[in-house]
Amino acid sequence: MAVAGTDRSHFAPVPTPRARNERALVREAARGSEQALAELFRACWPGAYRAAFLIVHDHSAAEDIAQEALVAAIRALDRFDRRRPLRPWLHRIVVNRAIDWARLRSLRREVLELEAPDDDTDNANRGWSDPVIAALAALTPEQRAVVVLRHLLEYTPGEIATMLQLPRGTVNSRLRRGLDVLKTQLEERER
Amino acid sequence: MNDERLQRLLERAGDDGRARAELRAWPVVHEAFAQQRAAAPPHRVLRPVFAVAGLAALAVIVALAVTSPGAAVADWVRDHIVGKPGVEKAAPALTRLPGGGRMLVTSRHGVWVVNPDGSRRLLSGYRGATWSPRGLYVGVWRGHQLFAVEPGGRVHWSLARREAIRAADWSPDGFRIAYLTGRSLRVVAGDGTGDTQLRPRVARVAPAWKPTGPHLLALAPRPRVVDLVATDARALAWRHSLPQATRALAWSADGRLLAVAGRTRVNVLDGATGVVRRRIAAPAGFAIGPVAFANRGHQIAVVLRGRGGQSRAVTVAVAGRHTRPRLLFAGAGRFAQVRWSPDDRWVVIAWPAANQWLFLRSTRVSAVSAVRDIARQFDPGSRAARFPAIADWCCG
Repeated sequence: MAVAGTDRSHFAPVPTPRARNERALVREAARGSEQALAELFRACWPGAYRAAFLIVHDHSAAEDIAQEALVAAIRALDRFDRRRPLRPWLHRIVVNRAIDWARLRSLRREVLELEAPDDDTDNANRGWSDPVIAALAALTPEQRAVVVLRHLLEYTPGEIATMLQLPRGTVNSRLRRGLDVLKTQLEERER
Repeated sequence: MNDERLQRLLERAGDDGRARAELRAWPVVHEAFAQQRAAAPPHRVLRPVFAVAGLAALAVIVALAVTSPGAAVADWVRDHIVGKPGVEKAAPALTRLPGGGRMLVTSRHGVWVVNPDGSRRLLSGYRGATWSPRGLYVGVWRGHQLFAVEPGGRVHWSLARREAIRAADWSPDGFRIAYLTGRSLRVVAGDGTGDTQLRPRVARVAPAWKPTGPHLLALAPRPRVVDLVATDARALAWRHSLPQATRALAWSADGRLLAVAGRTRVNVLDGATGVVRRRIAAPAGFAIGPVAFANRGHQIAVVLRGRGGQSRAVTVAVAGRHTRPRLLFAGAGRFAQVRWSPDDRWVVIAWPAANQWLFLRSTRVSAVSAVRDIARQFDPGSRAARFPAIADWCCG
């Protein structure tokens, strides 16, 4: 999503953080520390955005999803159980919202399949030059989600099963099928 | 392909958009944090206030029924929550506009310009309309064309776009018109020159000019985001992210507040910073319908639409610390629109189920002036007359 014009002077840069334990950051942010907030944002944004993007394949949607998840996390800081890590909770929101978004888009395409394409962004997104994104497009959103959670965010299949509220066997099968398709797609592109 | 390689590939993917998105997201997250740190959100206070609105309505009925000036009001509240929709003692024709000014009404035949004495003139064939600031011109549109016409119908200029025009708003100084065409948002000078695209893709929400300041436009680039953009400089003044999709935008007359109507709440933002100043939450079982700020001060009229098919119109003084909604009217069926008269003494409710317009006094003195058979008056000669829409009311 483009910002009107080119003037970004109103965007304050994110303060540069110093490395600290996530639990301490959550505690300090909940007490009102902006420095802790900035550190948390810096630590969480790349993973949240990238995970969303790899599932939805749409930069604007990924931005919305990651931003909304972070805002939801910030708003829940006071109620958050500080004994638990923040990131799995955040990633659960991101991945579930991204799956919903991708499903909705598929549904919308089914309903509107007779309409002429009028969305340049969407058209641009279909021809990905990055081989891994193009290969991921061959997977279902659910398969993409488990691949991303396992191989980008490095959760175990057990953790993924808990996050997505799925049986562990389902996670394993989606992972296996997803990786098979991904491998085939990448090999075809390399030939 | 091993796990390590796959991880490297995944970590690199999508990097081109991430940094810019991060720059945009940080102010939004920071703002959410600032709001969270601020005092307890007012919606927690407001919700119970709204939750008792049903009881308040009943109390209004009882209280008014025992006082002679309010007896008639009690009758119509009772009749039209329970029985057939509509106010019984309604005038058969629109012979005056309480509160004066001139209205623009869109109908199947075109746009009607309604004068204070109820007389009206049809600008034939147009689908939508907006007044210029002093009511000297009307911005009208049909299909792919936008026109500036005199209220008498003389066309001053027109322009055509590839996609249909959906909505337009004339800036308060008269020098700009913002309009939605297809999915894009464009701005043209008031004399029809300098037409330019401001955003290639926006949500289907009518943009709204800030009443003060140098051509500042509130718009929804995405359903859950509201931007304030300086259109001449094409620069973003602020951005606010919302939990609900935006349905409508409305400015207070002094430009200090921007109401953003969502499905079940109205967020009232600070016009200068985009920070939430008030939240007005619909009571359980109700959704937010149309909203309108008064022409002076910070009163906002809100329509609440219930799941059971009933509607309520309330006003809320959003500037006061102890915001209490005031029930104006409740009835069966949907209230399609709500507008303030130019002098702010009246609020009109369009009530299609009753085929009536209700002019309600906005002040403490309860009064109603109803007009029936609205569809036929604005769709003459049709067997199945369609209920019209109030597009604008200005210039007292």
